[in-house]
Amino acid sequence: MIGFITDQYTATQVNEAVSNAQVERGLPVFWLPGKYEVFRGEHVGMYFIPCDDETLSTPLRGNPPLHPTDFPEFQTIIEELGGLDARVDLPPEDITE
Amino acid sequence: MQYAYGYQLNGSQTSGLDPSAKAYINAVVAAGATVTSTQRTAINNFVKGEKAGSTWALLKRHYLPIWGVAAPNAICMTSLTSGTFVGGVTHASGYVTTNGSTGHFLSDASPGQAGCTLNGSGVFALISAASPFNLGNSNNICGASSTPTTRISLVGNTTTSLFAGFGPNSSVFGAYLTGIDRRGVAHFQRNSSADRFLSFRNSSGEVNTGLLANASGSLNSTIPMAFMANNNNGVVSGYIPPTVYNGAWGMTDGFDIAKSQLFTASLKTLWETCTGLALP
Repeated sequence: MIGFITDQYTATQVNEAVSNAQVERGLPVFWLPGKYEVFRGEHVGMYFIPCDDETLSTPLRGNPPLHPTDFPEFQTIIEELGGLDARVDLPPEDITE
Repeated sequence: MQYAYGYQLNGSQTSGLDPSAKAYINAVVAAGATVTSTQRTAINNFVKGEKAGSTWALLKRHYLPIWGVAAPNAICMTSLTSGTFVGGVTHASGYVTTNGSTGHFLSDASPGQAGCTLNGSGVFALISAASPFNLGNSNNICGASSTPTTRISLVGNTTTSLFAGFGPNSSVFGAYLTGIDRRGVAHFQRNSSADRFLSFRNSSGEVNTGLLANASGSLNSTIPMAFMANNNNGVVSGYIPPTVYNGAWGMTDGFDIAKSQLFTASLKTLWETCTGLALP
């Protein structure tokens, strides 16, 4: 799984920012990247935010659909997490308790 | 003329439709779905049929994630509220899939919040795949749980190719319907404080367990229902495999077996007509 490793606070902030971006546009919160505690491996105790190419190209809303990368807030989030090059490849079993 | 045709195809032309069908079509079009004339007719026929059968009001949440776009896929057909897709979910034409490790869908409501009663709660799902598949006890088609007595989940049991589940609103695990191909419409429902049933439909017809003795708990579920996984008091786990196509899900209240049989048939027709796909 491709995504960002961060602490619990930041992972929560990221999801809240994505939520706020929808609410501020008068929309329901219909999409979140999610946050997942890492239970084993190199990043144990940290949190994983999925952000693979499929996540980035998720058809969110509209016709033709907008994608996460079409929203400036999401671009800012990625930059604050260190940019796409900061992503890691985490074994799925590492987030299974 | 071209304008009129396009106006009709994009779903805005909804005159003559049942008001509930019209409201849903308008909502998904506004969110980005393209609704064809065939789909519009299928949705209208489904809504009218459920109203005629007195089951429309019993569909407390009904999601139809066939539109290939997250926002319309998240809209409930009956309440017009939106749930939330979380993590790795693929929005295909006709269904959604999870990546099996993070992707799930959260309803905006628990069964109780949605209007499911303590002794009448139920869940349903239309699932398919390219080939027959097994689900294990930890593969949740849907689930919401807190204390054991408020569990509702529909899972699998690989050992004997069974459907299985906890609840609704009880801690008792049951396994049902030996050896059937799981691709179809499954409806797991509490019939009263004393019994529950599971009905299942595919192109071969409908089978059900009959009423099975099972005592309801004393608390209604207050945990938002997850689909493609289980929501255990905010901790989501137990995902279904990425190979499973999820064509519809929802929560019901007060269905008996006869109504379930009619509903599963109508849902199968709705999904197949809208997607051009077929259940085995």
